[in-house]
Amino acid sequence: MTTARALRSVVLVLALIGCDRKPAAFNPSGLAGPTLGQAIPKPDFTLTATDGSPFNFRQQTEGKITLLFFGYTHCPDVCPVHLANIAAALQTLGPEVQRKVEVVFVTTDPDRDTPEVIRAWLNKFDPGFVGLRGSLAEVNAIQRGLKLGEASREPQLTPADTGYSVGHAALVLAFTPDDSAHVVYPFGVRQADWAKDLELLAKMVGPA
Amino acid sequence: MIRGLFAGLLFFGWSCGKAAPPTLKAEFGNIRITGGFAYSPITQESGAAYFTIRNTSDKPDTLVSVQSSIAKSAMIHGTMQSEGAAGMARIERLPIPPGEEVTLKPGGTHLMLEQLSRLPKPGERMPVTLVFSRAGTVTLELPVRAYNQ
Repeated sequence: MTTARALRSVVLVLALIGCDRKPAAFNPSGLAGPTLGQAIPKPDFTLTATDGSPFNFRQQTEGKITLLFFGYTHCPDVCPVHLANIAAALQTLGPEVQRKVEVVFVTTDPDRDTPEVIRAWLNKFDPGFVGLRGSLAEVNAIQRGLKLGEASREPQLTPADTGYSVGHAALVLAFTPDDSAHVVYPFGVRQADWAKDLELLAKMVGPA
Repeated sequence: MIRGLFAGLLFFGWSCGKAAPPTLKAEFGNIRITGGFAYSPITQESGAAYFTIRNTSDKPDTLVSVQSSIAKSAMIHGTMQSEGAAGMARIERLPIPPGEEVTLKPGGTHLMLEQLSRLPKPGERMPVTLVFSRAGTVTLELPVRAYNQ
């Protein structure tokens, strides 16, 4: 299984090298999201999914449009706005696009965000969203690797004070089937723009 | 001197565009509130509300306290963006200089509500009480919208 996956990755990499050096798979024009001068390679990490199983980000989102977002469920502002707009945009696009898009949420607040809390919260947006959890050190290492900075936690006033907030990247990274993020979404992207971009990006995914 | 003013003095204003959800406008003393709304909270853990505060007088005023009858605690939170990462900090006192305005908006400074006793749905109201050092106390019944509105 793992060997087959690894082989497939090798084949994919070879296929990409075989193409001309321009990111052959990435050519959509008219994207609302800002395109990066230098693409971000898809990170290879394994965290725990809300059902308790290990989730290898690189392997298990292979070939899909993957939206990666770091946040926490107590977040009242940036996180739910992003996720609600993505969910609503996907709703308008229908199953053809939906199955080509994976939304992966990684908590930056593993203390309060248990697997159950994450699952219940994500279900309010879309039960298909993947929720991942690891130690803060693991998650910070991933964020550092993506140049997103670290999750900084507001100091608790007392040990019983669980009302602290957690800093996190406000960006959503969109990885395409070439295992790169060429486009990122800052806070404030409207639902209509999500819908437009997800439809364009999904065209890069072949029929299942 | 704290004056109590209630939603009877307030009225709804519609922003331009037919699809735009309602916002609240209110005026009391030297303070004018515009663009007020709250998001329909996802869980009882936290919610957020937003508005622009204008000080119409020539004397400084300060938002010294916020609360809500449906939340165990409320506070003003400032969001700082640095290199893509958002950090937040509690703002104890929010000065509103004479003739100026301060805007709370999604992705920026917001009023955060914690441990809600109920979850107002889109179309309902979220009660929020603001205490100003000069203008006194006012309770706003903010129109509630969905997070994707």
